[in-house]
Amino acid sequence: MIKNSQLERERFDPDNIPVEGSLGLLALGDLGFEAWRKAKGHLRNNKNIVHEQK
Amino acid sequence: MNKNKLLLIGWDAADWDIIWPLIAQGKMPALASMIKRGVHGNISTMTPPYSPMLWTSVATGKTPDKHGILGFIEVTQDGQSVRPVTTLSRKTRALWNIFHNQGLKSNWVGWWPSFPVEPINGCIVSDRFQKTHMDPRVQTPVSPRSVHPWDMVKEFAPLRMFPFEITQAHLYPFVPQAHKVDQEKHKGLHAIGKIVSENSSLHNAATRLLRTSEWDFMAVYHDMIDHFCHSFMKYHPPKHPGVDPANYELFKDAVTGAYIFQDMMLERTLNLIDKDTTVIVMSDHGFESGDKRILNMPKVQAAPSLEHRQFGMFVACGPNIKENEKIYGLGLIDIGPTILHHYGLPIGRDMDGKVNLDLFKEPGEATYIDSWDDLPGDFAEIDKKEQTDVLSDAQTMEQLVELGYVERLDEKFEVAIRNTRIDLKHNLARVHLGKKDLSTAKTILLELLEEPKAKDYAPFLMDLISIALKEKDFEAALTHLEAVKNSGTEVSYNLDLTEAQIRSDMGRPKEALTLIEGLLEKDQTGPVWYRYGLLHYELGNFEQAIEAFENAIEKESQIPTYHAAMAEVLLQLDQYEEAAEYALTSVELVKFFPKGHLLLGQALEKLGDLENAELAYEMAAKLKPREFHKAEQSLENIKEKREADYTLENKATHKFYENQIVVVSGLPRSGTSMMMQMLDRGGVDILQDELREADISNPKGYYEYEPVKALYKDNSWLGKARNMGVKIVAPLLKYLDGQYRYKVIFMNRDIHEVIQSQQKMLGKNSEVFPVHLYNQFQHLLKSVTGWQKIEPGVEILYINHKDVIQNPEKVAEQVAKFIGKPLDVNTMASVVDPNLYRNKYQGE
Repeated sequence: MIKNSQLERERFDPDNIPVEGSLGLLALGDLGFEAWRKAKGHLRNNKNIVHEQK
Repeated sequence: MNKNKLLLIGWDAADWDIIWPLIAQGKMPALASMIKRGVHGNISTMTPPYSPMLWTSVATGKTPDKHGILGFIEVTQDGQSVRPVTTLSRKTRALWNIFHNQGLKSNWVGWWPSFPVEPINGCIVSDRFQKTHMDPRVQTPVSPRSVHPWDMVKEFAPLRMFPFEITQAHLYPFVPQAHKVDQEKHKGLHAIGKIVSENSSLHNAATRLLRTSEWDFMAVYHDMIDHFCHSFMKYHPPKHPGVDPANYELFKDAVTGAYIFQDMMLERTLNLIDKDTTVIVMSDHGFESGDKRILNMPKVQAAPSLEHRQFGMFVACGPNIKENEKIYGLGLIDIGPTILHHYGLPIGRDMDGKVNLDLFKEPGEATYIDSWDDLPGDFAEIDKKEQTDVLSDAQTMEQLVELGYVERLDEKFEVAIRNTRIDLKHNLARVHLGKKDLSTAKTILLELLEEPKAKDYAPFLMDLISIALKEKDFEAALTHLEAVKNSGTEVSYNLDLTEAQIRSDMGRPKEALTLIEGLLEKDQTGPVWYRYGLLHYELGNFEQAIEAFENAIEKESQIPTYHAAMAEVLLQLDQYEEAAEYALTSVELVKFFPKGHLLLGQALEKLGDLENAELAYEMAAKLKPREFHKAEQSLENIKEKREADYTLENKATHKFYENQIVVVSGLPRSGTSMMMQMLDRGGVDILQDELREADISNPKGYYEYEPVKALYKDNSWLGKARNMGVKIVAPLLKYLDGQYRYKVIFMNRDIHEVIQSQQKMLGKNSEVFPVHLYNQFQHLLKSVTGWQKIEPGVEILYINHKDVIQNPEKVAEQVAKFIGKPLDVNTMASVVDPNLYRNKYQGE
């Protein structure tokens, strides 16, 4: 189980991005978010996605 | 580079009650650093406290009746549908239009409402950009016209986060035992996924703009705290007795988690700006976190807003912002004008807010124009009459339904359209009610009563009752109350409490007391005990009042008015130390509580601590946005006292005040007409109409003024009495308008003689002594003493009727000295005719 420690502030370290992500990464904004997405693989690879038909 | 940049960050519903403990624990270091470097304080919201209305007031400096955003949804221009509120409902220029016209580049992220975007100099990432589908697996495209300039959508679209991307690492900080949540039964994790992903999308867009664009002004809005509070505040510690213990254990960390995460985003934001940038973090209202949390929302329009608290939070820091200071009296409506002033731009005289110069080290002088709306030129506005399908938004609508702000749309669209139109009209009435424009509010509410198919008429009637009470139209209040009772409303209003208030305001405290006593058998909540206490206080039953207020405080210890009421009674009982303690507690609970500071000042003044009393009065005067006459008069009194270096039990200072009103009072037949005649002859102008002619009871005339009789419902004429003398009988003294200074000459006469004289005048048998009248008069005299204790603008000189008869010269001198200006005392004394002293009391 992941401990309740992810509210810790994180320094942005592009070489050490946890695949499961964290609130610390999200708090870093665009850079943290893009780095995390890159680390976990692009969302197109996520099989759970249902693209909405417009 | 621009040295005068300002970044405005909106945290919907953020509240000091949650923030301070977190700061104390070191869990909100970014906000704490801003507080240390700048100013902080409460910010007062507006009525009704609905976020789209409030944030538009921030962006326009105007109240909703002027800016046009009246709720969460709007009827489309063609009248055929409803949708979440858009910029098309706004009917005045916003700051972004003004900045555009003035050549300033501004960025706006998530502002509610800013969709469809307007083509300004700068960038708008509107409130529609981040919206996600209720199905967490669905990825929705970016809505057309949700970003300006549109070619930036390529850059922003990949920054949107979706609920399906939320991992356990994102959930555990809010719900440490998320794995135990039965997601079939509780939608909490689903809500967190949506809120966190949407707010991250906005934060991503904001940080991108902060890193890569040049700007003069930037605003970012987050609804995260508000949405977390609506979903999880009921589980926030201390445990509310009504919530399920298992759910409490699961979700008790959710609200604090949201605040901490918001502060983490703030830290990043602050790291991306330079030291010359001014930063404001503010909320639009607070959120109830104590006993007033609502577990079962009533089915009324925008019910969740019932949990919104009157005061939000405000913090600002920057090169021209004062450091480490608390500010008072700030209103949400003042933010727009204050921002314009920061840029040296003029404020529209048609704006309702004012510039808060207290924030600034070098405030400068505010400049004005009639209206920004009248100016010709390019303001980057769009055609508001256009109709387009892209404005409809199922996702936002669904979210508002989920949050309980709007009802699920009826299948029959005409019903939804009618209900929306009626709700918006009711909101408009409430805006006018909040602005104290009772006449307009009443007109709208009466029109709503004529609506043939409104869902529920009771909310309109309840507002009409509050207007009727303010207008002292008690018949109307009772009629509306009866209509609520017969309306079949599903809302459970406490109508006995309402009726008790009406009866009390009608001057029938005993009837009100009977109602409350009945109510207490089934409802012993704080408000009922409080009303019970007020009634006993009004009736002079101070011990019972204290007991009732103690019970109210035991039920709800966080209500400042309960503590203040207790302080007021204790002042009457001369228990000044205890009074000071309760008054102090009241202002500790809410600093923005002018009456609490006033009571604290009064208690301290009585205790002889003039220095601190002065500080308390100063605070009371400062807090009141406009005028607080009692505080100003108290300050004036205490300064005189300190300068004179002597203590006066009675406030009679013998000082003449410009525009003072000389009041002659007492029980009827206590010699008031005689004193009026003395003043008249002595050189005081008398306000009278001579409608009542002299008779055998008062052969020299009555010196009366007809409107005095209706003083209890209309005291607006008192301005005419400035620098004059007027006769007002004792029971009406409490209705005097606190904005003036009064020199009250109170005639004391043996009550037996007064009664005898009255009986004779009324043709009654003067030999039969009415005991009840005696008791009532004694009570009345006692209440006048109590009233004077808490009215700083009132000075009383008690004159014995017998002394006037026996030694008129001495009394005339005393009166002239009290009034503070030279009078012809010899002529005054000469009017006293001992032969008219006919009802001497001879004792038992």
